[in-house]
Amino acid sequence: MTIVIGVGNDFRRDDGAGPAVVEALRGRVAATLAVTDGEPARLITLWAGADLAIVVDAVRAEPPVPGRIHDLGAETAALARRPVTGHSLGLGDAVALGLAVGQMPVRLRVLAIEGHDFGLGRGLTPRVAAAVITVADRIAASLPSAMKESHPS
Amino acid sequence: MTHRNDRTLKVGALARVEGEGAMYVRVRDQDVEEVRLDIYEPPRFFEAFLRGRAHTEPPDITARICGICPVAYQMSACQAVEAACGVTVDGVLRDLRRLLYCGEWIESHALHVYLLHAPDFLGYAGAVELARDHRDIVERGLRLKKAGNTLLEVLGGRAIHPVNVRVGGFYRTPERAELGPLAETLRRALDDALATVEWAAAFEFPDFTHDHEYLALTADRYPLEGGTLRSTAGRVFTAAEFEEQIVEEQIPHSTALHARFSDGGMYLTGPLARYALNRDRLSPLALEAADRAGLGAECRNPFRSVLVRAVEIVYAVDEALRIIDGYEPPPRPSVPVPPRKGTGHGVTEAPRGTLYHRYDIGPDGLIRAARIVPPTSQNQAAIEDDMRRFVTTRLHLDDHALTHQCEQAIRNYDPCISCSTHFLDLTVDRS
Repeated sequence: MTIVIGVGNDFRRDDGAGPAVVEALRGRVAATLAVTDGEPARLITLWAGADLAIVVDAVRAEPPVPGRIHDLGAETAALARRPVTGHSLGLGDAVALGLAVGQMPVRLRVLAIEGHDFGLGRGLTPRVAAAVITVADRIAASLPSAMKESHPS
Repeated sequence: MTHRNDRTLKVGALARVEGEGAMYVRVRDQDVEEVRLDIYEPPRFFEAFLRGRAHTEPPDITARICGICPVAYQMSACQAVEAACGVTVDGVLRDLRRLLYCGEWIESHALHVYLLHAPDFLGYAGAVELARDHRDIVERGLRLKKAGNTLLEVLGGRAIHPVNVRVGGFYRTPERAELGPLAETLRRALDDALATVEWAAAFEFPDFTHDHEYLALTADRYPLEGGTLRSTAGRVFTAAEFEEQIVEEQIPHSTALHARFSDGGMYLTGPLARYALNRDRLSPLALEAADRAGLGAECRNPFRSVLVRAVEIVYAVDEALRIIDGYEPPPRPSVPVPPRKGTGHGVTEAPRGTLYHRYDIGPDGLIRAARIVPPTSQNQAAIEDDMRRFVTTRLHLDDHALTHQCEQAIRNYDPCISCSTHFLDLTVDRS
């Protein structure tokens, strides 16, 4: 089973990048699509048992390059050692916890998009919106096309 | 320049709380001069956001304020809008709302007890370190959390911001058969919940008590989706009287408002308050668990709130099973709530405490004004007061140890900075 998980809150501007990628993939790929808020236990529940989990999340970086895409392959151990996202309980915690309780996908790929504005409100900034399209295309190219699609939470 | 006896402790980033914020403590000559829970994220503009929206929209819009307690927002919003429109939702639909709320309590409390709070008592830096040594325990916490999640998915359509709740009831109510597998999941969860109480009862709790006035809803059953507000000092008032009884004031260091009683008194809401005011309304099983855990008529040590949360998980699982066992699908999934001009108030018990909503609706059915008072902003004054006393008795500790203990103490309140504004950090300062 392959799952693509968009992490973020689309009421916090660029934090909505992950969910936007998932929206852009609807109907295009043969994979389970899910959106969540980055809370580790929820992430673990979603990806446990998957052959491949692709997580798309917005990140803050210093210095920032809004729209820059980080494609993190199987660097799960490294992810577990440092906070990756702006969420107080983030992806790094989820990977570390998943490893500790043996609930990881066989393969994990993380696509992180650097955000610019995490303020209140809807809508992505232009560079992040462009990166969303790039990331969605990249994921679509790496997965089989949609035959049918399921929509958990 | 720092004087030898002056120190400022700063905890710049509070870990294991929901959101981000900061704690600042200034000590001078062995006196704790200042304690602030700084909440510096911009305030949530949801109240303004709601103006001009249809009376049917608050449950969906306000659910987005918090990923941990969206049901609380939906329930308070529905109750307030229905009150404004003169409609009462009762019977099976009210039971289903209560059932949904149980799912949120289970999920939120399991997250806090296992992943955020327990590591403090067991000497671990966090849940990951705890899991490395005690995988079975963390797995139990994750199972409990998942049971709550499953309940939210079955009844709410999805776990994070449920989509099946509407003013007047639900878009769709489940068939009896759909709840069968859920009941099985919950029956297994009940064993995990009871084991959680037994496990937490063995923690060593720091010696610390407070005497805050506690405020919680009270009702025929342990309070979730409604009731009358009561305090341990004998105050009694309804949701409609909330703004007469409670005032919010601007505090310079916080973008969240501080709530106090209108006579100036601070108060605490949440599990400790609910338990003190409603202990006799717990189910027999939950009450027995509370007694076995050594919780008396009330609990005045905030560190022991982890135990009260564990008892509330038992209650929520037990109550969910009671509702499912007696469930007969209602004739229709919702009752009509035609808009009318008026003002309505709603208070329900979010996992962290009382959550108040008020809506003024115009003759066109659009919202003219909205007011939302989340539990963490109500608790902020009492949390700061506790921290001041807590630090005063621990000034002999070095900065590192004191900072660490302050962080633990803040986690007692499970502060949801996401709700009160957004994120939290901690700073201790001995200047």
